Amino acid sequence: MLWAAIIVASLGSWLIKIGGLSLPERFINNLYVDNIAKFLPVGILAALITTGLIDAGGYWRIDLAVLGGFGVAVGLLLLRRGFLTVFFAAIVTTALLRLVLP
Amino acid sequence: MGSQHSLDSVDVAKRRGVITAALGIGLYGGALGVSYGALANASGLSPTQTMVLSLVMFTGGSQFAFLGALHSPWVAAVVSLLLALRNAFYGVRLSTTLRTRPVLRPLTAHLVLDESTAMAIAQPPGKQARFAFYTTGIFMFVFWQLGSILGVFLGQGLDAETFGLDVAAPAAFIALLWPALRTRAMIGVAMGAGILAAALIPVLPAGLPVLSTVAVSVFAGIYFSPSNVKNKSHPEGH
Repeated sequence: MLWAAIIVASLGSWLIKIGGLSLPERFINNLYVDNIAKFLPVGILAALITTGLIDAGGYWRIDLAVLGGFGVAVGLLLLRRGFLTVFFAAIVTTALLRLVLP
Repeated sequence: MGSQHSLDSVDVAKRRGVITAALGIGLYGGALGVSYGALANASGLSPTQTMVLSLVMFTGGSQFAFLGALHSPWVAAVVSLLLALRNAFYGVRLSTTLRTRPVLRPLTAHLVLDESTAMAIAQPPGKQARFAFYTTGIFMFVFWQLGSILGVFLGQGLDAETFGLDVAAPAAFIALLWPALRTRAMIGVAMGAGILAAALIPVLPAGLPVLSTVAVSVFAGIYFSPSNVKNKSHPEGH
């Protein structure tokens, strides 16, 4: 089942790209389509963030090491640091907090 | 340097600039690929599964999202496809910018990424846009694959939690999301979707809290028509 999902998602992504190159431009000039397309990734990413932070498989769990690493990521983004700096600083922070926290 | 350039030397200089930028973007993509490979390995994907995603899906945000929603593979597939939808919108813009032959469409499509699109639309349409697009796309493809393989190997036997890898996905997503949070509407959608998904965690089966937030985006897309957005959002700064 995992394999099937991987193949469907992978080929689907490619077909989406091919579809985009084949669509007429008036498609994105539709206000609603254009607007929803802008919000869609924002909503999904935000949802992935909160579930990634507190979802422990159907119930909430607060993990201070993860929240600490995530907090560092937000802090660095406020300081306008680049993607990789933010990404690796968060991982290192969480790893260090795991060593220190009980 | 002389004050006069022939058209050719201007062209060559421009192309060098594009190649340098594309190489930088590619190396950056490679580093990200390493973390994707390590995370995929830690999430329980086999090396082959990890590489099929890199080779065929080949769109980083969706690949991370797939890992983030992996506890339910079909939800992971839907989430990654929804995130991949933006590539279709890039494609619509690129088709007039690149003007490639229809025969090359499947190949060209495969290289449609945030990075290759940004590089292409920064150039004049036609030959120069094509050069920037293919150079960036090909560098990204090569380095992304190399990075993914390297990540799989580096991740072998690595305990995800000890090395803090469980924060990797949320950290990647907030960094991807950050540049979009420029208007009140965007911030509102992000907050609404984030809170809704969190609230639904104990209620819905795994993965569905994330999918349910599509409703927030569709509602916001209809509610904030562009004229409304102009009235309701103000420039950043206080």
